[in-house]
Amino acid sequence: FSPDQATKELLSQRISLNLKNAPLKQVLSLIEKQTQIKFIYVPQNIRADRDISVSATNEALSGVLERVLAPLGIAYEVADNRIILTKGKMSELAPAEPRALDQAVSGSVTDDKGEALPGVSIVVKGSTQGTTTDAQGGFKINVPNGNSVLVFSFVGYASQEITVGTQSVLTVRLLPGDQTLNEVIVTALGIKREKKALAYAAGEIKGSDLAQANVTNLGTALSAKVAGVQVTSSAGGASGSSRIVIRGNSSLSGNSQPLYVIDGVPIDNSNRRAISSFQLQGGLDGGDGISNINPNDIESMTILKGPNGAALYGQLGANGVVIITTKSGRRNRRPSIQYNGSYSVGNALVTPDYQNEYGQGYNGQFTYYRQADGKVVPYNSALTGGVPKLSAGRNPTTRGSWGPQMQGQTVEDMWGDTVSYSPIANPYKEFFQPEKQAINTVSVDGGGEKVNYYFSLTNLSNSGFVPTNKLNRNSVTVKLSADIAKGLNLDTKINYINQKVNNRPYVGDDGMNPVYRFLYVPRSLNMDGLKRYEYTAKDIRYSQDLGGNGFFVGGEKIFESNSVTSNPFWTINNTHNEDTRDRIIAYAKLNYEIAKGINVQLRYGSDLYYERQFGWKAIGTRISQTGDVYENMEFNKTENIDGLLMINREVGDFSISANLGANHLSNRYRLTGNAGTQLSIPGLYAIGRTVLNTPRLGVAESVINSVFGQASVGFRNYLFLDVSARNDWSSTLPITNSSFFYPSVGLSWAVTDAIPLNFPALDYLKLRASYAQAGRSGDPYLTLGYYNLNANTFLNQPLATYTNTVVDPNLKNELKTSYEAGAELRFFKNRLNLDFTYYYSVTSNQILPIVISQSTGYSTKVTNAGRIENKGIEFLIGGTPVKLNNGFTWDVSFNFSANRNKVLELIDGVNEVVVGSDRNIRVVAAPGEPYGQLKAADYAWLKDENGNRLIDDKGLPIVQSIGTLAIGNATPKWIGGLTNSFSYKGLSLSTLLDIRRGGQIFSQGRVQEAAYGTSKRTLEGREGGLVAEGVKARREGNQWISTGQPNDIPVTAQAYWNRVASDKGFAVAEEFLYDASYIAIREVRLAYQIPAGLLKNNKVIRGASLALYGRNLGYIERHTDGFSPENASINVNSGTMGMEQHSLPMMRTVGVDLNLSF
Amino acid sequence: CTNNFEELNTSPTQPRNVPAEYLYSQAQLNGFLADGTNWWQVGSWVEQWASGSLSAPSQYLEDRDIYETNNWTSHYELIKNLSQIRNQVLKGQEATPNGRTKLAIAKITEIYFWQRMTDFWGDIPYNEAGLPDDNLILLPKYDKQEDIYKSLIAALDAAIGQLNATDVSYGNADFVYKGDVTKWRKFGNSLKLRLGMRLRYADAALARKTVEEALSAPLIESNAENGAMPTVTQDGNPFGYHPIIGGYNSSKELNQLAAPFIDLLLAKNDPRLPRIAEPTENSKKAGTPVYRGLGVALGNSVIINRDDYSYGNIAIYNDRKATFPYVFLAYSDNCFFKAEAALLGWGGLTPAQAEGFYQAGIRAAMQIQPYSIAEADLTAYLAREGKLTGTAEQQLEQIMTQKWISLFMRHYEAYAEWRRTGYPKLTPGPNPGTTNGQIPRRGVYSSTERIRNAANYNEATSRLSNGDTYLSKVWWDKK
Repeated sequence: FSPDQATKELLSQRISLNLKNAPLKQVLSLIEKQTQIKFIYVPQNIRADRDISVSATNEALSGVLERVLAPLGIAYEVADNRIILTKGKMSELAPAEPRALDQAVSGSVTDDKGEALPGVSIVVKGSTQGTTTDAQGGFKINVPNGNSVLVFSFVGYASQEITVGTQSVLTVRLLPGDQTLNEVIVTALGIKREKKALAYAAGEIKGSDLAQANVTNLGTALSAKVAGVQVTSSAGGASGSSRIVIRGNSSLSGNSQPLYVIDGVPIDNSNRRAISSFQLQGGLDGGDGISNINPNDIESMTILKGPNGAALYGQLGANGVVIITTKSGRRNRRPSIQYNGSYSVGNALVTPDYQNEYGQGYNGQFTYYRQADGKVVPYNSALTGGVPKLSAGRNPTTRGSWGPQMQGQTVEDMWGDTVSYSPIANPYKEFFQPEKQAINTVSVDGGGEKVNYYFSLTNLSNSGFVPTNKLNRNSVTVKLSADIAKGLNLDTKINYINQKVNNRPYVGDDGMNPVYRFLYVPRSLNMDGLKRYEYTAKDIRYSQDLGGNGFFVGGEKIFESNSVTSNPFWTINNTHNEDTRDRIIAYAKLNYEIAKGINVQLRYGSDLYYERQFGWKAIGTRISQTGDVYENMEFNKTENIDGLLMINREVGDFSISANLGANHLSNRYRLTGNAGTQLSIPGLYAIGRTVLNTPRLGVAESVINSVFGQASVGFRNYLFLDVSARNDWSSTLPITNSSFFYPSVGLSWAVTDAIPLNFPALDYLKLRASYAQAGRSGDPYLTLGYYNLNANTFLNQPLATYTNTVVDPNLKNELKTSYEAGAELRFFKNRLNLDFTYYYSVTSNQILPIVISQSTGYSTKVTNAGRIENKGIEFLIGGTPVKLNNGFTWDVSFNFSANRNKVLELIDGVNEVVVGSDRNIRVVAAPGEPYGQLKAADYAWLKDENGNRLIDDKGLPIVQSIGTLAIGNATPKWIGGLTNSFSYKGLSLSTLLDIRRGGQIFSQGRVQEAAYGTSKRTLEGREGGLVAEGVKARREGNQWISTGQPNDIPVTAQAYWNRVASDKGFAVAEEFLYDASYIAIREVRLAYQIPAGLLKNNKVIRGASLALYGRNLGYIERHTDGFSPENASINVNSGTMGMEQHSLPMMRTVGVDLNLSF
Repeated sequence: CTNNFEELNTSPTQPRNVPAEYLYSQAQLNGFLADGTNWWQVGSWVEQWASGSLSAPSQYLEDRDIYETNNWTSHYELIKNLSQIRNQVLKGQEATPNGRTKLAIAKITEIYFWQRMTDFWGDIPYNEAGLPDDNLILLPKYDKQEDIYKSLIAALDAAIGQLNATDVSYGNADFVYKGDVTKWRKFGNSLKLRLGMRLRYADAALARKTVEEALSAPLIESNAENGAMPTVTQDGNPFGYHPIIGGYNSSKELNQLAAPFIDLLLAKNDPRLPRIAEPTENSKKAGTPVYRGLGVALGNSVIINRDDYSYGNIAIYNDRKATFPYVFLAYSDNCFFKAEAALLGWGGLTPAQAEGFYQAGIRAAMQIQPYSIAEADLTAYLAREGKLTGTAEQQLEQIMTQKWISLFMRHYEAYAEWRRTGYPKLTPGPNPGTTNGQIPRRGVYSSTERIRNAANYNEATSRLSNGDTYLSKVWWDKK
């Protein structure tokens, strides 16, 4: 269902009233008694004491409200079960005497999609006479004469005035109108507040927008939707994690990920199998916590961007909070059944720029030659009578595609097959397969007088881009709220998630990452030979002619002899990994209304999961020749208990809303497992059944206890002062430092409500400012030094080493201090909206594992170090440029954020913190520089003072050995999102562009291509040579001196690229640095809502819509070669930002979805 | 609010204290076996291995990021773990029977590692390294090798003096001598002999004094007393393999033997050759097995068929079930040192005695596993090769050449002794690398030191004749 429909249901409740000259508040209170609603208002603002008369018999609430409130100049807004009353604009309705009614008019009212609108208020302008539409949207009313004007109004829709004239039957279509004026937003601790009262910027996303993205990982659906939120998707494909950074990296270590809170309960978002920095590492992306969440259950999402909004979450909220509110049923509503299904197909958005002209070889020749006598010798063109032999070796000389032009010559490949020397079949077609995803959701919701419920069941199945990679997720949610005694409400939810992932793709430098492998396989490789992935005796015999080793019949057939290589076809067939997660996210909440406006609430929430990880490699797998098997069991439980006293009071012109609470948050994590190698029985994959076993054990426990208070004082509903204070006691700090306090204060002023401004177009202006702090206390066990016991013994002797991390026994909390100010403006009857924010934050005393000189015997020291500053602006500009009477509407919205980050200081003696590194590239944080600086390491071009490369006497650029050299930065200058939606009758088209400007990305994949000559970039100079750009230099002793003459000495492409990168360990990083700016077509959606008229006679289906959607359809602008700049190198960790390493391509997805309501 | 926080924040899976044995066993395992792992760097510089173009250092190219950083880090971690024994575990027991001898053995072991480190890199952090974690110097200064050597010799004297046969020792946790204090005394003195002789061309007086003191003390006198680590098979064990076997199996191409080494063994008709190398694959196929070494530092563009060159003996080095002790300080070392001392007339020895020590060295070197050369072959070999002839310098060349063969699989020591004496005379490979085609004279520092300990790194580098490159010589490399 949609919120609009819920509102409709609420407002169509029937009431009967008959009061004369009674105070307004009494009227309201009578209505409250007859319905499930509550009015929220400031008595002074709406003059609740004035007397009015009203009479209604079994009439829809909406009609009564319109009739009563409109003439009084009171605006109302529905939020949940509450109706908020505010002083509206000057009343357009002058009180008038009732007149004789002699003209009958009837008709029907529908919404913009043609669906009947029940409960629409119809008032004869200038009178108190009126009615409401019935369940079918029909109405009947008598008007005094043809000059009468009928005002049709309904919450959420723009009201319409129609002069009756001679018509006796009217068909009225109401168009969605401003819904935002008195918007209510879910804030910290699940407290709903009027947006007007907020002293900080909060981003919102409707649940339907998230569900419509139809993504596997909810996190990736946030792309470009909210200002200040940067999203990076995983290199591990659909089953991987997502990296979300709000308002820049504020933490020098870790992942800067926000806290996710679902229905007031913090959930675990760990990405425990993540690789923190990928130097020489491989592995897989085990996914993060948020990826388990079912987007279809989400009613709304609020993004609190920093401490200012999240102070009440304390330390967990320092990186911002994503507050997720799940759907609930509504009171007094018949059961509504919804079905939602989607199906999509995805393909690689960007693939490597392969060259298809030159194949395996070196120096433009075949590397080897099989002579007529059968002997293999290094190639010599003088030899005749035999065939060129392609090598199974490992050297660049044999692995590279620096050979002759591929013209279909007859050659013998590395396995002894006589093949044609022709371009390899495209691995993106021959190996990878389209990703297919289906999501099916059924939900039921409804409610009676004292109960409301929501149930949903979702199945998501995704068959990944890498063959055999599959994800299947079932999610069941039951949510129930009941008034169990007078004033006592019990609210509970259980969400059970069962997820199974098969064969997560290996990422990064892992020997089994297929993307990595296919980047540099010789361009002439015979794919059919690779597809027969097990060695035959013949394959081995011919491979061994060139010194191959460790091959055996039935083992993994590879094209090179490296010990850490793989054949992707073997990988998907003879290795396996899987994980199954059973997760329960649940809460129970008891709310008691002690007295009017005073509530106590007790809540217990828990997020717990078990995850079984299991995997094996068959005997013969190149990187694990004796086979292996592992099984781990992970358990994680996050428990949150809080008590809250909530007071809402009005005193004179003031409204006070205060919350006092205490919170206990605990986290328990345990991993037990076993990794075995040397299988005892081939094909038996069970732990403990291997010759060698290494048990695994990991435990982490922590507790945070807190007390907090928050108060908001409103003055005449236009000025609000917020204060909050919180004290935390964290178990992860030394006892003496475990308690810490942080406050926040904020002010919000709705200027236009306070003073009349003489800007004709300006409808609304709100100013806000706030100051907040948040602390953080780090991970457990960082205050004592421990020994590591080796899981295995040597000759029965136990073995131990001391930690490589120096701990700090005086560790204290981090503190983030944040200021923000902003304004919200609306113009032209809310056709144009603007929201602007400036923020500034400093995070100090960071709990940081700083890398230290290894000469100490240690590699890191965990201590409080460093201050980092983030400041920036965010704005959101949106509006409705076109809105025609025929129902055509064009809405546009653009969000923009620019964050400037600076590391202010580190500790003495530490020049920089290396956040992540790979060969020849570092991502660092250094004082005075922005976080995420990219530095070349080890090698750089030798340049003259003008920045020209110096070229040696052979025509090759000169490489110098360096420590580090700054070459760029990984953080963007600004990011933005542009949404356009067009709607006409039931048809709507919406597009989302995701924009990033500035920042760079280093690509390890391109190093690989350059070293082995597989990309188009290496084609120049294959024939005739290329002249490297630069200035000739001559050698004087140990110095190169520029001659000032431009280089004119040609070299071969191979010589040039082997100078730039002979392999990954030797590469001049700046040559592989790309501008990461892009404009991506993130989402396009064309939807059609079947007109209600068509379904009028259908007793089963009440509503239906059909949509065609696409995701990641392409780029309007991109500067990278063969990879997507917004695709993470590996996973969510900051250590992998700014670097690409053979990532699985992002998927260009096209799908359909269908919504039915019954 | 902070009830049980202290308990909660104490790791339930990791100990705060361990017995000294656990640390010591691990240090022996990691430290002693590491002597044999670096064949693709020092092993090829000293021209016993030729790993071809696959390892940058073997091509005289600096690759600090992978080779040096890992090497540096693992060595200093080794020092830290041994230091924990004195800094924490046995602190306060320096004079008790429970601590004294264990600390002394740990110290001797530590000195052995320190020598390897300073021999390889030259000036290194020494005095400000190995400190307890609550009193750590985050930016350790680099000490001069000259000072380090003097300190090591003094510390070794002190440690040997602290050894007491009636004290509690490490027992089976000591894989090398099973806690035998007498053998540790001999090991210590043999180490002292090695420390002293290394200084021969840099500080002759100290060298002579140290060598003479060592010669007058009990030394390792037979292969049974060798400093040797037992090793285990790769089947069923996660670590503790013989380093040459372990390395061989992962990538055969990194393990081809160098031409100078094979040529010398062929020239001397050395019976160890078949136990070291395999005839080339192509010659075996052709039915006429021949041994042929691969040239060192050939550069990237030279295309070879690897099967035209010898790998290590497959039966010995490619057998997952093979195991034999890894010798890291041998009786033969002492013999060759004594022969050298005799040529110098040190310690009351005379040049005439040199040949006897020389022959004893060859004999001992041939008798260890995996060679176990039969007596008849040994006698025949000695008859051909056992004479020392010519000038003292020519005799030294003969001694050092035999020592070079004996140090096969002990790359750091072979490299140090070659640098010290210049024997055997080695010709660099053709690749210019970063040395202009010269054989490196030291290892370069870790790339991380350039950043994390920049000031001290720069200060140390400024003392090097050619900066932090392969070409700068360490202090004792004076010949």
